[in-house]
Amino acid sequence: MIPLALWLAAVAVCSAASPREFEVTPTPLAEPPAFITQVVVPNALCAAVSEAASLLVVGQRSTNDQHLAVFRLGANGLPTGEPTRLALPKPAVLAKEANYPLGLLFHPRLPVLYVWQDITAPPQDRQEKHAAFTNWLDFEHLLIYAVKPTGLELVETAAHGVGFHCGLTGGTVGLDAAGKTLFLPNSIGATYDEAGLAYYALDGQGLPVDSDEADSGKVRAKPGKEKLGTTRFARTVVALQRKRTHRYYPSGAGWFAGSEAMVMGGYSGCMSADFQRGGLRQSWFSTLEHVGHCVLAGHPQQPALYLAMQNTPRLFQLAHADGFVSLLPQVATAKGAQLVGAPVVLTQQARVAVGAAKSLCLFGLEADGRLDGKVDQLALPSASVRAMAYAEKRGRLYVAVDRAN
Amino acid sequence: MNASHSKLRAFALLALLAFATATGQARTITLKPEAVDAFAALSESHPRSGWAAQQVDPSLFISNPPIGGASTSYLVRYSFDQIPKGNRITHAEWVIPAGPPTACTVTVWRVLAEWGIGVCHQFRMVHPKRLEWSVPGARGRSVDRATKPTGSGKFEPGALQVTVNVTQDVELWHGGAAPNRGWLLTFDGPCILASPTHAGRQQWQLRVTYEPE
Repeated sequence: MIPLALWLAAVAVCSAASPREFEVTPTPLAEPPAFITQVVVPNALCAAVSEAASLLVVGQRSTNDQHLAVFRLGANGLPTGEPTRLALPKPAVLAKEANYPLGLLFHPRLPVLYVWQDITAPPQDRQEKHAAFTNWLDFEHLLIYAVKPTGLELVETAAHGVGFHCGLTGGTVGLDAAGKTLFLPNSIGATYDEAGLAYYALDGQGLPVDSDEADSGKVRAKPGKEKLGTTRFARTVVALQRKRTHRYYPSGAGWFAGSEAMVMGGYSGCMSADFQRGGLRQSWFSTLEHVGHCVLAGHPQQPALYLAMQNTPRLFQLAHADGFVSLLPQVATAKGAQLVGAPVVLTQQARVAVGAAKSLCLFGLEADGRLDGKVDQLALPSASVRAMAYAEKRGRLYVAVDRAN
Repeated sequence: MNASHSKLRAFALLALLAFATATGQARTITLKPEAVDAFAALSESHPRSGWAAQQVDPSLFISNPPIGGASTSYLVRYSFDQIPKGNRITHAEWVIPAGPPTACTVTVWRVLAEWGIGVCHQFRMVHPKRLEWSVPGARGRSVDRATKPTGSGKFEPGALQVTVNVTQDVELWHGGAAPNRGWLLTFDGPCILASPTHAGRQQWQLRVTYEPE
């Protein structure tokens, strides 16, 4: 017989809406759920999936210039064989430095993949004043690949030079709701430790245009392959817009495109950014009682955002309307978990997946996107589970692991 | 019946009497920041933002600390789940803390209109329906907010807390005579508030005294 107190507690848990702040011990999962597909890509940092192109791309730290693992997916959504490997370009003068991908993003309508990369660099403190930093001025953070039947083809590089900080471990790119503006992280702010953000207007092919072309509506010809050796084309044509954020690096720690404002994860919170009188207006929401780097994701169907505070057990759920953050957040503490990387919303499973040290946490969701107070945890063969991507139509979560189970 | 039984019976009666007396007495609880279940900023300068109302420069707004003003007000709602059913409210007072160097008057209004996700100066909610305030900033008397204020108080450099008697409002909400839609705080000038979720020394407190009906 169930003791009365236990029964009452169970009824309370089942009937009451989950509280605004709660602590929960994750329930260990003995077996991986069927909706999870593991791919072996050691030291993986980021991933993206295109259901239209049936491609899964995983970015990894690599000592032998194999930064991207490109998997072809079959009709059932499973990888069909070994991946194709791609190296990310860097200037010859930086041959001894390790570059690595931090963010991957498929354009939702165009056959284009955006890659944000970074590279080991002089010390973070006053980096841009460092004498050796001149060698880094030709490093291009943004790489744009055309998605072709034969694979990925590099068609443009951009975001280089004194405008961007190097050597960071966070920050990625994001597209606005119209898919016409590409937001970039980690541009240099007004002080040595302040992150900025940047953005490009995109043309009809998903490539950055300069401001004059954007104003006149002209679409220029795609650069020839011969231009890519030096990247001068991108450097001279593209006009970058940059803004301060008044926050520490990294900026652009996850993006969500609301219908009227863009939301960006950052230090101790997130920022809504909307264009107002021609300028980008920023509104910061702070996590108030908790401090740390936060990575953001948004629910594609519900008015809900998720902020994973890095290397802590805390996940915040915030409401938003059209991209403007609203009301007080829910704060979940998953005891024992050290969350890393970006949350991934699993719409078909009503969960949010967040990577952690040697495991994956699955936070349960209510129908409206709020956290329901339940967390499952799956042990995985990875030092740190960071690279995940979700195929929404197939309802499949791809997780990169260091080795096979 | 022997003597020990008589003593036991007397003790039991005393215990029962003490219990009955205790349960019949009024109790006071303090609702702290964790009982705040909704909060929003309403700012004329950024009519779509329900959080970041403090303008640092022409392109930047921040949320903390909350700074009230003639064109920026705040909505705050508490959950009263901690007050057991079957009790009536006999007294409630709300302690609102501010930060130096504040010198302004805060006025507390009971909110009448429902508000929710997306609440801001322009809208009282955006999801699941887009509904505007009758007057932007919840200024519509008798529609958005009550006809008369619940109370008010003045922050001064030497008095960084204002205590407002909110008994009637809490009684209305707890008794079910009106839905709990929280309070609107308006200001006659710049006013730096403590964050409503700050659990430190300068924290928002709602002291509620209740007794069995």
